[in-house]
Amino acid sequence: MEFLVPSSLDPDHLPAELARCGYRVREGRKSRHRFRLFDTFDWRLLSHGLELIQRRGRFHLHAADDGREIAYAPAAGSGKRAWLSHHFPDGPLRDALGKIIEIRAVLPLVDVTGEERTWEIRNADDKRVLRCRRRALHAARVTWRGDPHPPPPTDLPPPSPLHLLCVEPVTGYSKPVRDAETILDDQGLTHSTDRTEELFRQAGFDPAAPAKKPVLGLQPDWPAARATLEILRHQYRVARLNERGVLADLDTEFLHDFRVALRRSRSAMARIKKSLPPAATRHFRARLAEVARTSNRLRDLDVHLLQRDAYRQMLPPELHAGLDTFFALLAEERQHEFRKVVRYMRGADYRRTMDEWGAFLAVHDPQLPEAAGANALTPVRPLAEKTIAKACSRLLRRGRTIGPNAPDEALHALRLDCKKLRYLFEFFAELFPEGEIRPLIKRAKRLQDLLGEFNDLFVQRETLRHGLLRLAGDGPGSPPAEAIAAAAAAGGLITHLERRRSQVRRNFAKTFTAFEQCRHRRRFCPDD
Amino acid sequence: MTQTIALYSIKGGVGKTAAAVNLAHAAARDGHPTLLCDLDPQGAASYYFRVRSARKFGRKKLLKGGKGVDKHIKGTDYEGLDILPADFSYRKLDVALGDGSRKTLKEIFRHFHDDYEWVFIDCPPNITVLSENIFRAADRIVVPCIPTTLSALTYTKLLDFFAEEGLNRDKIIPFFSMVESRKRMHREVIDALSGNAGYRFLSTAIPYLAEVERMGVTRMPVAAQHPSSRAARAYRELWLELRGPHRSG
Repeated sequence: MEFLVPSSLDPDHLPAELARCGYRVREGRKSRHRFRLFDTFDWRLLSHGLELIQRRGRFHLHAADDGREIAYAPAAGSGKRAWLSHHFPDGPLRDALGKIIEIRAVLPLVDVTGEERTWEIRNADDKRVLRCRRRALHAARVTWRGDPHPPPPTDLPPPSPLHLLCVEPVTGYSKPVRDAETILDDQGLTHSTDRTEELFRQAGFDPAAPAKKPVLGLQPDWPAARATLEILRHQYRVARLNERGVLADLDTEFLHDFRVALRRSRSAMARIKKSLPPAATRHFRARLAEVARTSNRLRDLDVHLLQRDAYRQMLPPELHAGLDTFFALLAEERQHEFRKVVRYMRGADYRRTMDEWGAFLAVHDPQLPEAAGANALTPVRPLAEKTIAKACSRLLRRGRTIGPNAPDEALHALRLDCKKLRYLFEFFAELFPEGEIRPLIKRAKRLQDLLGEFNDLFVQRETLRHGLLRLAGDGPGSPPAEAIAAAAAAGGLITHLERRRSQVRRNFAKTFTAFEQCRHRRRFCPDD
Repeated sequence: MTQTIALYSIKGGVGKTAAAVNLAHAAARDGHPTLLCDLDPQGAASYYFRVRSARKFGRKKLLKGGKGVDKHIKGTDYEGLDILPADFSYRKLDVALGDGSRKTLKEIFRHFHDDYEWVFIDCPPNITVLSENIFRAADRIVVPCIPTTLSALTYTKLLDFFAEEGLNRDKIIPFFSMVESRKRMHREVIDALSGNAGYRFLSTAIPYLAEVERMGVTRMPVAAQHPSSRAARAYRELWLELRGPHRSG
């Protein structure tokens, strides 16, 4: 049990009071602590009630509420950097962590130093029945190249240490805990579970800021332009928030979230018709499309490279070496594309686009008649309903025409319709009752996931074919296109035959037993 | 896989409880979650850890098993080491187990497997229905022997008993306890018995040491008092031999 206590509370208060209850109190040796706190950019560990720390060359994963250790692993190389789940050694820590962080990297965030005093509380038999710890923790933000978080405000007051009081029960002795609780109750202290979050705050982070499900405070009677601006401002913040992570190349989600924010912005401007001045909307939609386009190929390659393990499992082992070669080529291309994107994002063109867009969102005033779109001042909710209805009926109309023989293009088009509709649901979610809108968002997301997978498979296949063509090349040393095509065909067949072989192998037992159990067999060859 | 180790001797006063306490302490220090079950109604092991059983706990609760027992497990002053303290009502455990209508100890102990890697049982001396129950529940039965002719005789009796009851004799692991190397008889008995492969004595012997006797005063395992003392080293050796080279728990 841990309590956040004011620095004014005398550290000796609890031990002294326990001594007055008749316990023997013995103070232990003072100790000092030093550890480093990690989390993903989107605070996944914290939101799952976990705490990842690095201390003396080891990673420890703790439950944030009671500090219970869940797993640990050696931390090879203590350099300040981002850790993806495959950077951790195989074992329980990686297993537990991987499920939560998935493809995100954990980042070094806060260095914590602290002093600790402990007291052993003993009963009349001189048996330890409780332990109290008082800790003062100082949190300092880790500074490292590639830190994707916005730099801390310069006017931040110097953090004061965090005072914690921890009461550790001993199995089988509940009365001393109750006594300690009564004493702390009298001081008005209640049990705290947000120590980790508090440490992040002390270091100047804001871990409560949820990027995914924002609360914009939209009201049904707001003018449409005001609501649209709020929606766009949020997307703009998300895009800018992810810039540093994209440039530092910490994990692939920065680029993904960055692109989604751009796409949502364009979608909002296109779908919520005439709420902003048409000329500005046209201009920014085109500019943002341009920004997104520069990273299209990079994102495709990211998706592809993330599939690496899944691909390996699809292939028989003899083809793994070939796959590795293939992935090496992709990784090389990705590096190239990445450098291109970095150059672009550091360039004047990109900066101008983003600054202009940001300035427009900041100063645009829909009340000025010359700036307004035709729908600018209509209340947002009826407009939202109309817009959703339109997008929805289009999705339904198109979806109903798709039979088993419909062309792939129809499914691609449907995916885009579905995405647009889902974005609308999300933009306006706050205007409608939670119970109505959330299930719809969920269904729309599932439909979009399915269509998205269809599209991903298509893109992946195209990338593979594209890669094959590149292997052929036209230099003197490169193999002729026919040979490549033959190798590809053979590879496809090898995979297919391998799958078939293991299928047949699995069927053996059943077929053999059927023969063995056949009663006519016993006529010739009775069982012993 | 949890290992259940019974410390057992037909005779009393052979260093059985001292071995149980110090081996359990050594296992916990090695990082294994460990439970010491004090089944001896004298409660010496519980005394060494300064633990008393709750008034509500006793023979009947123990034999019901399950969560009712868990509630009475107590943490010791040492990391990773818990104890199920003895109760005076255990003196009638025999009678209770004898009627055959209750859970066997094996079933009761299986319940601890989720939480502990090593379970040590401090058994009451003498051969009864209870000891037989323990023989079946334990993976190994560690038997301290003072190297005297009489002890050797008692040990042979135990082996015979196992043979008669159809119990697995391989479970029995004896070691020499309270050895006084200046006594000629001790040396001779050790020579004679450790040469006999059928007896399978552990190679570590625990010498007769004042520190071990002083546990009654200090009320703590020898390694907690003086980690580098001769007694502490001897029990650590014994633990390492018992754990075996490749066992991680």
